[in-house]
Amino acid sequence: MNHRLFHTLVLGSSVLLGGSGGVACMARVAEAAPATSPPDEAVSVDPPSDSPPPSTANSIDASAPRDAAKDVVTVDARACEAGWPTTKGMVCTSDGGPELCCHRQDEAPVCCPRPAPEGSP
Amino acid sequence: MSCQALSSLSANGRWGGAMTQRTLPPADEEIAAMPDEQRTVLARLWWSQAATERRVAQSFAVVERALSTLEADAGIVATAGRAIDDEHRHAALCQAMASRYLGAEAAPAPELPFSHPRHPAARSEDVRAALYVVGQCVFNETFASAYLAACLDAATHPLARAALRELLSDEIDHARVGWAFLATMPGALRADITDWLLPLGIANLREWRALTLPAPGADLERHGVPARGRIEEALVSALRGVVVPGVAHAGLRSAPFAQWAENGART
Ligand SMILES: [Fe+2]
Ligand SMILES: [Fe+2]
Repeated sequence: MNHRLFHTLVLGSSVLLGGSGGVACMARVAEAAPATSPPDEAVSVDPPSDSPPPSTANSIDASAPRDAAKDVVTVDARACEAGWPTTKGMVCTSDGGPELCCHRQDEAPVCCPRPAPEGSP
Repeated sequence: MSCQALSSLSANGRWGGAMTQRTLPPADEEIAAMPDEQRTVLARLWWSQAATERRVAQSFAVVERALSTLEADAGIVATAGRAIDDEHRHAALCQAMASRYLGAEAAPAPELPFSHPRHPAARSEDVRAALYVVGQCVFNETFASAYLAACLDAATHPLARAALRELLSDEIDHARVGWAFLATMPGALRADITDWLLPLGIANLREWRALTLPAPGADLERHGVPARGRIEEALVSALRGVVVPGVAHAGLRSAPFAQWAENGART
């Protein structure tokens, strides 16, 4: 497991602690072609080989049912809440081409059970 | 939905009131030579993103309050506070990009209605506040970073690359707010947050998957719009390679969460 963002986000988060938040952002962007970028922009976020991210093996409980997540998706009301608004364009494709989508504020998530009509068994 | 002028940027912001760290490169001649249809698609994408970036400034107002309530580390709280201005800068940058592709000043992006998860099942106000930080920063901003990294990987056009780099470097800081909080979170909250990881993951990944983009094409990829499959791959890869090991690194061990991620992260 060597995701290029693991060290940048998880381990790199310690730079925030104890400061005023006024420090210049040291986050660097992994470049597809570092050779073409100036040195100050070309820092890879790949983790050093001597410090691998922790394995997730310890977090997996072999005795847990394999479809536990399926139950949460379908029956846990906590998973049916909308998530936080995302930070990207909400462009949908219609017959007329791409359009700014309506927000999803009141849209019922598809996983939520629909309320049964009154009087139904 | 209403259209209003974008907020002015704070002189106390990350770049002293400037929209970006570096001036965006000129590329107007090349853009002017692009087919109208392609320019319009890209202008709409950036314009739409201006609207969503602006809305996320409100998310960080909630997160900053939550962190203050929890008496989190001063550096974390300050970074979350600065993120409010960051998101306004992102809105301004996206608006500027829309105008560049349009070849004219784009109308102000709409102000979208804002709502955020309320977590009525949270066991206490402190748990709810911590869930706000984890949901917005650990999940949402990590997904945002992965998404933008995929866009940057796809982009070859200098203007798109410059804009995406500006956005990504800030979103990384915003995700770090969540990861730094997790690393320093009071012990009393850990069991509750661990139990919430799976529903938080499902709810937030669903938001990212709900979006659709124009049909992929090499021309759009050059301008930072990757194929849908690449976006899904980036999101799931970040879930498995950053979020799952990240929460384990912070000592939160949820077998159902790790299994869900490993088994396809159904939402
Ligand atoms: Fe942003
Ligand atoms: Fe952000």
